[in-house]
Amino acid sequence: MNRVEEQRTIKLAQAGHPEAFAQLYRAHVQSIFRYIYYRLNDTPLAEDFTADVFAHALKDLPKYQDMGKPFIAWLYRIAHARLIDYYRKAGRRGTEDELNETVIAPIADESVDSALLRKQVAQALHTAIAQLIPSQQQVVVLRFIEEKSLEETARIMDKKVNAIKALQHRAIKTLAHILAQMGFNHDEFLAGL
Amino acid sequence: MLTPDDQPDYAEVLATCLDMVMSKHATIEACALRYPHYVTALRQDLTIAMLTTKLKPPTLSDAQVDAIEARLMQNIPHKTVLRPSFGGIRRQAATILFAFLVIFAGTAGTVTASADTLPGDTLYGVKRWWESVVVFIANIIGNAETVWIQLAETRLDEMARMSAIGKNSSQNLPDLASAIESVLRYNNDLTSREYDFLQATHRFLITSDLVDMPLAQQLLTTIIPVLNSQTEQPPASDTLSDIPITPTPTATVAPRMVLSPTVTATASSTSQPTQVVTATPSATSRIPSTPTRTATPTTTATNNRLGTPIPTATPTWTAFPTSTAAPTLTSTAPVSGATQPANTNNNLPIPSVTWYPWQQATWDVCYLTRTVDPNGNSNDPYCNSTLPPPIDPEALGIEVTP
Repeated sequence: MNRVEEQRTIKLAQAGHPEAFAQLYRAHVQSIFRYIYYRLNDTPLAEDFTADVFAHALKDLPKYQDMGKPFIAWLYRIAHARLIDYYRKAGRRGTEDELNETVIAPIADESVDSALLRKQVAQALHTAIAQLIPSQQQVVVLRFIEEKSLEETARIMDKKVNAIKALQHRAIKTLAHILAQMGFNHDEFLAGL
Repeated sequence: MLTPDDQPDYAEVLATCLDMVMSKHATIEACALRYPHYVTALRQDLTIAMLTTKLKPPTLSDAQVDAIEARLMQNIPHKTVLRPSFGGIRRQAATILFAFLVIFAGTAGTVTASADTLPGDTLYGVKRWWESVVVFIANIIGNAETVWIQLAETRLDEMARMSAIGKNSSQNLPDLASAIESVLRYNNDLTSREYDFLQATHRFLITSDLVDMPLAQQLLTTIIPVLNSQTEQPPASDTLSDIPITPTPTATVAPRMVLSPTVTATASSTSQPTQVVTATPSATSRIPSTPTRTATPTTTATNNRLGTPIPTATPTWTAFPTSTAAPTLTSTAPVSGATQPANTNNNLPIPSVTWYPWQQATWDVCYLTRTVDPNGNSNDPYCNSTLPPPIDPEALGIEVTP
């Protein structure tokens, strides 16, 4: 959905057309789920939270104003606020989850050892991402998982491009530090690639 | 040796390499080797970043997406109006709403402050908006002619004040023209107030720098015959209370009967003038045809038979028009007793007999608030003629003496 279509759909949704809101929901649900998943590291909880974020978005849609930023930026802010509330009430940062066994796309004909290593690296990476601070987490998810450009990431996070560059630098450094503490070295990273 | 963290531009280098590697324009090794100072750090950081890109992102299944959507749709009320669509409210209803808000909500301060503003002033838009509200209400209650003459006087006053302080008032000439046409449209017999206004307008135009403009000349062509066609004492000015155009918060409107055309047997536009004027219209016109004039004309008032002074210009201009044709009315100037030419503007509805007040009011608001360029072209298709369709006296069974 491009910007013009998105703005038109938003206006229709604000005018009370359910199918327009459904369109916005389907366009952004996976991105919001991924963002929440990495914050909570809990799939069922992330699913509930995703529904909660969109329910709040529906309730607050009349107040939404297009300030030149993508609609998903507003959804991310709602998600962030809901997560902060959750952390404040629950007093925790989320539970460990059993990671999907195929979290890194398998390479055909790879050996059992390298497959196992890849899985271990993937699991470690998931854990490391979950330990990042929210802003670093968001930039990692947007830049490397959602594969957004620097400019798109800056617009969504309402920051300047240089700030995003600095954030992604610190995020990668933190990931490297966490992985090193887990005992992984550079060769093992390369094996994961 | 400086580490990457000490180098101020490592974040920039990392971002550059990330873009190149993620877009497959370079390998990790190739990009790292381009920056020897940072090669080790770049290898590690780029590897971790690319590893992250290979993570299969967690996703909701289709069933999970549908389930959440179903829950959301249950919470949407059937007749939810999440935001009122103001664009669908008709223009007339919006004007009525504004009128009520103004009258009853007490915006007197701003409206009153705008009373003496001139075109270009900050509150001038408020003044014009208030006028449109008053016009609309006046049309509904049938007191339009009083409003139009007040508006016309206001337009002339604004232009005179602008000229007095050295401001260019040529952009306001179309507004004055519209106001004059409205006065003439509503009034088959001029009151003394309307007559004085036309005289003042004539005086202003011929003594200002605007006289050479096509629209000014068209106005003079319209005004002069109307002034000359008055053969009887104009009736006394309307003594009923006027709707204050200069806005006051307690504006009151005196109810009047709905305007009905009264036609009396008066001279047509081509009749011999009875007033004493310096230049006889049938012989020459006082509108100079040359675009420049070499002397400032002096005006001397000459009383006509009616006892009302008519400004006359001492012809000191270098050239007077050579046309000897009597100034005839154009189709833009309705004159009492004359059957108007048929309206050729296909965009305007031709009333069969007369318009309902709301139709007239709607048209008037459009007419008053439209933009007209100096050539008389309007921007509003609803009322883009310089004159609305006139009321045909014969259709009303009124005998017209040619």
